[in-house]
Amino acid sequence: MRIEVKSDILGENNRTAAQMVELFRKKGIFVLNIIGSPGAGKTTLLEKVFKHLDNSLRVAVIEGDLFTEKDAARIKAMGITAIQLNTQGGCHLDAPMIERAWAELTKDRSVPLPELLIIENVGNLVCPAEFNLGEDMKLVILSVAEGADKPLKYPLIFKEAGAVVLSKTDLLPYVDFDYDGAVGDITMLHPGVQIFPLSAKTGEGIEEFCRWLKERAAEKHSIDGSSSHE
Amino acid sequence: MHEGAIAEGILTVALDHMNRNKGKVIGEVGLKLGELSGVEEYALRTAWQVVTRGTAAEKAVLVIDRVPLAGRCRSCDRERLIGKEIREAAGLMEPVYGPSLVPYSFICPVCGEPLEVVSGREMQVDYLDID
Repeated sequence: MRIEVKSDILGENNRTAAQMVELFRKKGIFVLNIIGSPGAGKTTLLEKVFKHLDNSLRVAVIEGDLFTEKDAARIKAMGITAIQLNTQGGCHLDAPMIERAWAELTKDRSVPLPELLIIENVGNLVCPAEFNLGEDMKLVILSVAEGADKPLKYPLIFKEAGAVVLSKTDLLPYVDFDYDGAVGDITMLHPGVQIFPLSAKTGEGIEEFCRWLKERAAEKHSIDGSSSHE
Repeated sequence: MHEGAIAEGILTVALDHMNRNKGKVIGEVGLKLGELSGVEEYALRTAWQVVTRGTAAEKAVLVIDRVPLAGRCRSCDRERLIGKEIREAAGLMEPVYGPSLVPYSFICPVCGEPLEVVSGREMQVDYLDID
């Protein structure tokens, strides 16, 4: 007997993600899912951003890696709340992992909820593109050292991302990165997407990126935010 | 390489629908996979054999329908196959294995307006054959 199903394969993940979206909406928390290759500079960008924000925004971070607590330790060293998720070989984070990490992050009810929650995904341009985590937006980071051909080779993530960071621009004089070509390809894949060229090393572009983050957080909070644990 | 998670997702959906229809065994699972869904067919079939072991879907065959990537222009309302037209115009070869990934343009070649994706992102269990 043939039966019609028409059901989403990742339905279970998407149901949990939808619950997280609703929860973050009620609390007015802007959630950013950061995706990039290993070594693109995801954690380094966060360090630079948090230094620049200088506690002007309440931030919490969920760090995703296959192994080690190195990244969460770097963020905690800056006085920022961070939780490490180890996938032990898994190539992406999924929504149930975020649900558990969020429960852990908010265990201490005397600590006020964050205004901005950053999820740093496992270093990978492929699989994380398919898994919604309840975020407002995916942000893809591509370092200029990786090559300008990457947007066309990994089109899905550039299509899914709400904003793109081109990192390590201080290396532009030393690497053969076709900057205009990369921007053209990204725009072709995702017309109108916001692109932030920046360098965590020199600080170029960091201020503009931080301003944008604060605007997103303020916008989300003003819609419906309550910030309370209840 | 997230085909393990995808195979588990398919199995969850398939067993759920089999049970709801009071089936005992699954013979065939029809999938709709969009050209831009990140699923590698060989890895998926291998993962499927592993996750179905000892279940009612152990002997189930995966039948995969690849859905081409298409978009509709916001301005002229015309639907286009994304990628294919550009590749043909430029005389680019189609790859030996899998759909070509170069180059996808989500901009209407006539109007210059963004194309809204209408198909090609599917990751769906379409039907089941059960007994």
